[in-house]
Amino acid sequence: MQLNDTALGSVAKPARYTGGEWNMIQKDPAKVDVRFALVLPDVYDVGMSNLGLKILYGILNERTDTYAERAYCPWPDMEAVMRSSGDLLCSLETHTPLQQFDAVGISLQYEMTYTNILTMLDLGGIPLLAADRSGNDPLVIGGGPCAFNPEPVADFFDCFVIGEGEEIIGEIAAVIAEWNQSGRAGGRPEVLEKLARIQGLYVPAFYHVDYNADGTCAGVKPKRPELSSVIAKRVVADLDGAYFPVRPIVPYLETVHDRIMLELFRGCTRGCRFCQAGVIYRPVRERKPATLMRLAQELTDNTGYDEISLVSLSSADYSCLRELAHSLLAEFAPQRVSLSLPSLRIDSFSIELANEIQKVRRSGLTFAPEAGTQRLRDVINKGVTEADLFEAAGAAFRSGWAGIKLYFMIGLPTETDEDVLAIAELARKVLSLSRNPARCKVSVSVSTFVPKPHTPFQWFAQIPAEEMERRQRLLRGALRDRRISFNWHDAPTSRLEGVFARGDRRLGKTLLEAWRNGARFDGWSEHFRADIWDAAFAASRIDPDFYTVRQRAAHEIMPWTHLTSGVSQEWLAAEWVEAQKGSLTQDCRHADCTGCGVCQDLGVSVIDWRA
Amino acid sequence: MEKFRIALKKGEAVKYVGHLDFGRAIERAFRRAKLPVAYSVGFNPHMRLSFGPALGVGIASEAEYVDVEMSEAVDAKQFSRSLSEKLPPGLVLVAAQPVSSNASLAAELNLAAYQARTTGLVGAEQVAAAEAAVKRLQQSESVTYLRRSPKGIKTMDLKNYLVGELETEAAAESFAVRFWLRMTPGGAVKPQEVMRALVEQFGFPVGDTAYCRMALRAETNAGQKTAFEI
Ligand code: SF4
Repeated sequence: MQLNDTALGSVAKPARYTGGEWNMIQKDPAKVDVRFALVLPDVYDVGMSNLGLKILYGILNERTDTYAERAYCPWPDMEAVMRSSGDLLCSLETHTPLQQFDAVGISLQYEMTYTNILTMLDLGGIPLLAADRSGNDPLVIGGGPCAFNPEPVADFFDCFVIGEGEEIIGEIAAVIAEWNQSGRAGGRPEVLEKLARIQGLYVPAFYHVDYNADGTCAGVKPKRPELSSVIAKRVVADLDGAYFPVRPIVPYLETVHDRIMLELFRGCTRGCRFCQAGVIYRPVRERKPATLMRLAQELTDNTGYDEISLVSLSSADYSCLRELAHSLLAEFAPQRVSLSLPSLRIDSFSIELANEIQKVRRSGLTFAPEAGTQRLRDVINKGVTEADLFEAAGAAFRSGWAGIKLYFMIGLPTETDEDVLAIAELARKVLSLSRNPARCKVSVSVSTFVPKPHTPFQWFAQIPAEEMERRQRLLRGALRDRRISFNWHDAPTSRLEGVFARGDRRLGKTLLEAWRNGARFDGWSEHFRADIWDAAFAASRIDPDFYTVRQRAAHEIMPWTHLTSGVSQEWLAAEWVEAQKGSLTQDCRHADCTGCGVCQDLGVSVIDWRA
Repeated sequence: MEKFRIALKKGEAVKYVGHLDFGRAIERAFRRAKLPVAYSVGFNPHMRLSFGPALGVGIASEAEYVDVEMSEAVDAKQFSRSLSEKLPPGLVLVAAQPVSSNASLAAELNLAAYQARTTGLVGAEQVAAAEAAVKRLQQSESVTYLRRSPKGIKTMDLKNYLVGELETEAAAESFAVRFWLRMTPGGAVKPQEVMRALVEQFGFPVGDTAYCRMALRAETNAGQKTAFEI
């Protein structure tokens, strides 16, 4: 069921909805046993940039018994058109309504896309609540970073994948294939039962949540004895040997990351205490330079892209980066393919490298000191000094970069006004390092810290929205300089993100209520409606402050305690104590194990080709 | 330097791909085909491609033209084979010829034939209404059309752009209108605007309309030429 011309002709960027891109997989749906729809609940331009789904799309479609297709969230203009025409949300490959798939796999990248999940299920003809699904309705499966606390969306999902998907996705496909071949014997309960036996797979309906009188979580317990009480994440031990998609779809529309994404390694053990990715993707596992060279050539041949981006949580930490960059340049510059390094470390090595690989210095360089004072940088374990920053910025200006972008956070634990004002001071000092400050630009981007589950700051009370705004005003006042631009995040959005990040199952009602009243694309400031959310909290009798500005007791049971990344709660708690003392924890990549527990717990190890 | 002129079909599946995105898709196809395309010199070299008149979003095409300069000689057959294999689904290479002319496709091609195929018309009555609407537009001395845009309202006479007779064809499931439009340095009319005028001013029945650019020509004092003749 292709949307008709009247519909497509009346919306912005209609190519979001028509597919047909280079490398799109075409199969005969009648000849497979399992049909997957892979979903990223954001608009196509954003969703198509997600590496995780490219990997799963590749792995599933390599199976002859499976066909994986894609769907993204219709922009509100298209949703309105579809609601008035009655069209169902369909896959881009075969224009099949979502309700006809065996499984709909939804990537949970960001809490503020949660309402879009409901939009997509509803437009796809799938009952919103897992409890209301029956017989032929698809299995709705969540995954991605937010699946490490999926409780706020648990009501809408049949199951979640905790951790990395490379291996488990095939196991899931096999279970569904077998179930389909048996004529779906035993119905949904049977298949969910089988899925729950897969390690790393969580079926929320099989677990019961108890609450204490004060509203805190008293425990999440399996309803049956054969289910494990703690579900550990899946992790790929040998990333170098793992599947990597060398035929990614090349979109027509310009997407957010419209270039080759070459994943150098997974994990980051620098140990920044605010960072969830730094915990849930542990340990560090690198690909070999030779593997990366081969992947780069295949990707270039198969896509026609003219840029390779070296992606990872902190690409400059790749142990063989200099050698790799030189080999890539030697091989690809003659093929007119350029390199880019999305994340720079704050040191002269990174600048040298940026100079070598980015001949054209159109854009500026980006650094993330995260906090304005040394004291606060020590609290968050960001091992960067002011001297490092000045050295790096000075080197950047000397080599001809005209702009520098600085990333900071406000609202970090123990932050005072002095720390906030130091951000302005730092920006001014960086500007003054330029030989020609009149022509150079420094931009300061300040996000608001949102405490995330599975981090040393998971116990911390987020600052209230009014306080976020006060600190933003304070900083803006101190930053009055035409050569320094200042961006910040809207406080109400950061507050809502904070609610869902550390929320529990009771928030399902609030989410549903807000969505019914029109909440959509909440991460986009032009669509965010604080009034709808305020009303939804009131209607569902939920106090958002309970989730945000409340300091958790050390012994409190978190709504996600039954899901583990392999990093122990004791280690996180110890890090929280160290943070308050402002003492640093070293990176286990090149130094000794600091005892987070993931390697021992999950039987994996740090893989760094230099070590 | 050798130059090829190519003709491409842009199918229904990719008609919502805009002009810039279409250009990028062609560039990537050339890169995948590993054909020796020439690049401009300078800080930010780009492929030496030049395109014909931009096609509106939502319009399929039987005839899109692109000129591509090569950095070394390539056999025409090999050129076509390599490129065809690497074009995304929906883009089909129709012809490729080495050309020596320096004429600019975008400047010279100034006539376009369009087809507007409407589905969802019910019964002989609606078909008759469609026929009558086209006939009345044909007979009108002038057809005023108000183009509304964020910049304001522009008044245009569609008859200044329509060239020759409008043709119709009623089939079992659809009703097609075919017409030629002139592109001028001062502006052009979209085929959707012709159909809107038919609906709003002449009683053409409302349906779901699919558009296709059927041909492009260069009109000069010496007569009409195809893209491969200029
Ligand atoms: S267990 Fe030790 S070596 Fe492994 S990631 Fe944790 S701190 Fe690093």
